[in-house]
Amino acid sequence: MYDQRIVPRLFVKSRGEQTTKLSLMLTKAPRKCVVRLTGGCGNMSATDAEGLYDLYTQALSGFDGAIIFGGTRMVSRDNYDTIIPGITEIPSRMREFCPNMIVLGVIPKTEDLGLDPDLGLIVSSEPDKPFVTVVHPEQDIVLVVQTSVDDKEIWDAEFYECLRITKDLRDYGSFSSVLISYNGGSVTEREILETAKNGLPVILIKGSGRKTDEYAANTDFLSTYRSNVAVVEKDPIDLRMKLSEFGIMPRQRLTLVGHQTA
Amino acid sequence: MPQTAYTVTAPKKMTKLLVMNRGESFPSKFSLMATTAGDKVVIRLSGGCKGMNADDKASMLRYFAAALAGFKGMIWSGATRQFTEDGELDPMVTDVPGVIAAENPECIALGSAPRTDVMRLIGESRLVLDEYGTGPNPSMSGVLIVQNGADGDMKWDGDLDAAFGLMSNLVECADFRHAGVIAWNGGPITRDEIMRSAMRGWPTIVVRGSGRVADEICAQLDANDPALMEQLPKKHNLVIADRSDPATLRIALQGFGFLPQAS
Repeated sequence: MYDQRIVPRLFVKSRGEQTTKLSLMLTKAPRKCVVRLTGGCGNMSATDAEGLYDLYTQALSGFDGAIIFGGTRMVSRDNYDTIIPGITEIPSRMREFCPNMIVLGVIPKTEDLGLDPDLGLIVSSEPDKPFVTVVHPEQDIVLVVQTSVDDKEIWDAEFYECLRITKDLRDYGSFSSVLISYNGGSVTEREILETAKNGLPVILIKGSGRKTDEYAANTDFLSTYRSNVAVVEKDPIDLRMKLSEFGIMPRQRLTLVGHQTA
Repeated sequence: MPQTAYTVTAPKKMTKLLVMNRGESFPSKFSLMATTAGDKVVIRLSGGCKGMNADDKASMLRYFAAALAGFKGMIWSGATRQFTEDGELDPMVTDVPGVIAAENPECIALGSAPRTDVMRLIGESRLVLDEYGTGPNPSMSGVLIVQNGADGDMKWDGDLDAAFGLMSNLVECADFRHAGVIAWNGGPITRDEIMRSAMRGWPTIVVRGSGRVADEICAQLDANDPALMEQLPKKHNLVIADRSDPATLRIALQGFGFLPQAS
């Protein structure tokens, strides 16, 4: 169960509005850096998911910057206690090893939000799907982005908002940043491309599957963005070293106890 | 190129200019600039220079430079700069933040101003804020202009809600330890700023001997004037420093935690 001491602050932002309080809250992180987690878990087994969590918790152990992720949790429609594995479970898994980090979830309002007495705030519940998507309870700040009170948003709005927040933190708050991409589909592809085009650091995890793998093997793409896009093995030491190069983790030699290459 | 009163002296030789509409939420870009200060404290400098001659103004800059030596927080004021007819700098209170930032590298100087008139480009595309040639202050890293829409004008206190909103947010959301006001001279808007700060219980320091409203407030404090005291919280932090000795301001700032304690 999640740490009861963390009560996420919920903000709702319409297009064109500012996010001053939210941006300021991210600056509470002791280290001025922001990591954006993107991707998906398509074609991933439960065992693969555990490997995914180990990869991030080991590579980012001791991280004390800000994390931006999708902000949701998927639970089984048949049993609300069953959590569907995914990228959005990584920050809560990291918390034990990164007690000082600040976690922000960004959620596009693609349909009207709902309130459920057992599940809290529901982001999406399609009767033909075996899961319900809710606001993840284990984060510090939640930002729901919407076109307006009445209009729905598209899924891409999440990464556009994350990119905007990241650029502001870099340009006006002296933050460093990196996008870490794992697996993922078409929305992830657009986020990789948009982030790379903006000259912001990107790490692609080789062997994670789908779009991330496609771009990790795309020599034209890697050549074009060689100054800001890097490929790492699905290995916590390799990932941690690259994070150090991008100024996200301190440069120090670490031995990962019990580490096995994923 | 020789330096003139128009030269941008802010760090990186650039002053970032943002414009917001009154009633809109505060721009996060400007808020983030405040967080780049080396120490999480913010001081708003309020006041004016009416009745002061050139020597008084030069002395004022030296006074604040001495009192705030070692300051690493964010310091801000109105965002304007005044020039003489010959294009020389006519120093005002709004030039103090830039002086402090120039002498203390981890300090950041910002400013805010209401748009009271149509902005203009004159000369070699120099931006001015009114028909008198008042410019945005180029010694500040960032300047926020608050306007009443594209067509509307504002009075000179039109930026105060935004200014005090930012300071509150820095304390509430960004772990800033202290926010406060120093008042020098000034008129009704300075009184408003003093009271906004003091009524919040924030450290508020008025400089006795600097003139006008600052001196009036000092007299009211000395006399325990009910007209003032009844507006203040029971445990207020409205105190007096002395114009004749910058150490009095420095000691007050140290006492409130804006500067490290003297060793």
